[in-house]
Amino acid sequence: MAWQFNSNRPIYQQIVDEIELRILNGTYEMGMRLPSVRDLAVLAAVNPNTMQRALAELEEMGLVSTQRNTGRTVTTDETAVSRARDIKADLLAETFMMQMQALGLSRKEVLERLAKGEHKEGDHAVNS
Amino acid sequence: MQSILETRALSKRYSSTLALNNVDLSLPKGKIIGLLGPNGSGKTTLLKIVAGLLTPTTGTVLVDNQPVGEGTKSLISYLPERTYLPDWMTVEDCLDYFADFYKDFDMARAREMLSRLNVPAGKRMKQLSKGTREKMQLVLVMSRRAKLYLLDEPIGGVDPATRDYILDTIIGNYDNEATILISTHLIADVEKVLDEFLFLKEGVITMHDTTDNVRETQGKSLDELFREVFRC
Amino acid sequence: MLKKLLKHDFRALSRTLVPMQIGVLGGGLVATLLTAITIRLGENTANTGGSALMRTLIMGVSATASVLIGIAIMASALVTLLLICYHFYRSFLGDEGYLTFTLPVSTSKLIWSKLLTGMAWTVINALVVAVTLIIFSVFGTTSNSIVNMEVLQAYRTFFTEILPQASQYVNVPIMSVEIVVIGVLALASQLLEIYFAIVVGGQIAKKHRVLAAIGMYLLINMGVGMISTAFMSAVAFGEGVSSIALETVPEVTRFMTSTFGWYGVLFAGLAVGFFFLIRSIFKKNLNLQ
Repeated sequence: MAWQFNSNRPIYQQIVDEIELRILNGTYEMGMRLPSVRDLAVLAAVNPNTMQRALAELEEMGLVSTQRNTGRTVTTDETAVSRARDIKADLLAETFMMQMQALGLSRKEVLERLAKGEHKEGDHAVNS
Repeated sequence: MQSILETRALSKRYSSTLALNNVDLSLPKGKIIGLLGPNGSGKTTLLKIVAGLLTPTTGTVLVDNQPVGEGTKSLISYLPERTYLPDWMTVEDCLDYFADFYKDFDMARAREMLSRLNVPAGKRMKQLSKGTREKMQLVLVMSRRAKLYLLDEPIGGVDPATRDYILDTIIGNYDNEATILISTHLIADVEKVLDEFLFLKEGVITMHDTTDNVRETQGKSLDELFREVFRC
Repeated sequence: MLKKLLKHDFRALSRTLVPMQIGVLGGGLVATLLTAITIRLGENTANTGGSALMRTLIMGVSATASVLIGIAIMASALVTLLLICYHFYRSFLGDEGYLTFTLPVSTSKLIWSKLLTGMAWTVINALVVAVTLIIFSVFGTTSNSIVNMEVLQAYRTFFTEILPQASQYVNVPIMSVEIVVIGVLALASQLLEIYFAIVVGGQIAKKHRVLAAIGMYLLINMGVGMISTAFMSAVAFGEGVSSIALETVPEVTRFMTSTFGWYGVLFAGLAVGFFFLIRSIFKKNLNLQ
């Protein structure tokens, strides 16, 4: 099935985000061989040039590497992956914090709310 | 980088209407480009002139630096908006025909695509449904290793599944030495596939840019931009 | 490339024309058989004193068969021509034009292919008709034996007596060749004239193209007639026809040769003219719908 994209943001950027996500959560395992640019493009239903640009960006980020003979593979470098995860997680956390604060909550209130939520989840786990 | 298609001051007049008005364009190699505009804006006229089916009223057209003629016809693979294969020809006859006249025809690829479509070789064109016939024509056109593909409204009037099939075929056959020019008025469906686009309004090119540029600088989709520019 | 065009054009025409020629031949054979049978029946009835009514009936069937053959034969020539024209029309002026005119071949070759295949099929049809007629005349016209010896004799006589006699007046081999050449040129110019009429008809009329083509053909034919008359008159005048003596073989041969020669020039000129007109329209003014 074709991946879902928003047409008002550069597609290549969205592809980068999607592939990065898959690498971070293990869907694309480390060291795994990626399909060719063309095959990926058909899978995602996008222009091969766009896919090429996305993959180049991912290489620059250190998440993907190209070998002469074997084509593109997901990196085996643990530190690169955890660094990417850190960056993404920090960004998401910051964004979340800003959005919560826009509701009028203080940082402390946000953190309390989060802790309460964890407990709630624990309860749910016990009751279900 | 040399361009695959260049027109200069290209105009086409039909008795009372000016279908193309002073069109200047230069298309690079290796890109998928959209020729976008409402019905009647001159898209088909432009494609027919490049394909060698119409002669311009004024202006010049160069394909790979050659004027339109026998030579350029072997570089161009053209898919018209209509059914143009003879009714009586079978699938096999059509393959034979294309293989005979076009050196760049890839028979293996054509057969492979046809087998995936489940079209038996012995069926005549008139026995096929309209949708299958259109797919058949697309297969023939995309099985050629041409330098310039001209597709006139390839996804108009087909169901969504067929639309996906057509776009997948276009993507899958992409070759970075070749340029694919797709004319359509269904922007939203094709914009993910386009590198660049041209807006054609009443025979005039009003915009020529990359799709990424539009998304990055204006935060709009091509579809949204199109609606703005062509607001009635 | 021309060979490929010829192959495909010939194949396209064969689809309908081969069955038709087989039909003509088959029809001819059937009619021959019928006629042969009815003649014999008619004779038998006469010998055993059958009624006049029977005889009339049998004669009637025989005559009808002959007439039907005649009609079928004339029809086949017309149908052949119509199918050739239809193929030309579809390839160039219909939706198939999108296929034809995007082929990487020169316009001239496209026209040559239509011309040569059209001529070939006209000749094939003529041969089939001739063979059918010969078969009928030899096998279907007598009751005394299977083969009509008189007719065969007539054919033989043509070759053994009439032709040699003719060579007292003309050089037969040379004349034969000249007749064939003129025939070919005449056929070419006539076919191209028809093609031209179709093309022009298509240019000026968006609807009712068939009528337009026929109209154009009649107009063009008048024009061609006038040109031909003017041309041949000029030739006759130039050659001083009135003062030519036609007594010896060499003189007759020379006269016939020069007449044929000038007709050859006329037909060739018309053919070339129409060819270039068609080509020019295709190159400059192509306006496919």
